[in-house]
Amino acid sequence: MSQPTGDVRTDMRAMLNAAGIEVSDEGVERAREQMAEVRARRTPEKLNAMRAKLGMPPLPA
Amino acid sequence: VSDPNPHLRPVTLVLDTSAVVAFGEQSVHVGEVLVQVHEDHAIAAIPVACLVEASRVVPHWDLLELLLHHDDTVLLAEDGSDWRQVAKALPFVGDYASAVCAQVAVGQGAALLTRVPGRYEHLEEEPGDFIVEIHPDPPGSV
Repeated sequence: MSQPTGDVRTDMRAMLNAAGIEVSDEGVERAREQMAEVRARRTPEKLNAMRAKLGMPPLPA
Repeated sequence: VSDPNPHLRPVTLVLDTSAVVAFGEQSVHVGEVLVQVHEDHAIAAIPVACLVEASRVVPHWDLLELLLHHDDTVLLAEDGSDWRQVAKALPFVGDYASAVCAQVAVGQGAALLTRVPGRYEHLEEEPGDFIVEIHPDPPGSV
């Protein structure tokens, strides 16, 4: 494992560095886009349909 | 599952067993998604059931400790009160740890990070509704 440069409890990149995981800004941007796509697909209607399958009440409108 | 959000920040991501294993294998993609959670001032949740399952195949538990002790992650212990929801999830996903993970993700309106998106497809209305699939890292990236 490489030496962390920041606080591994508060600095995510420092924690990842300590774990031997080196991320790139380009990769983080791709992750941002991937998360945004999932958020866009997860409409309130779809989320409520999944909640219903698990016996959860629908979210307030 | 006990209060998943003691920091009053939104849980936007839940790691299933395969995601915890991927972190233990130093997945760059998992790291990138975690950075995104951090930059969103949000929380990534790890159910205890998924952590324990992952610990069976992750040899370096010190890596898991790093993940668990970060301020942007929370380890979710089950208190039993949601057992009916977990039980309803079980037939859709096939195993207990995945059922807990799905229950937390759906309950929180969060995305679920996994290497095995097909495990959750019967729960979704359409594929990818709440799944962030972990891609293999390119050779030599770690």
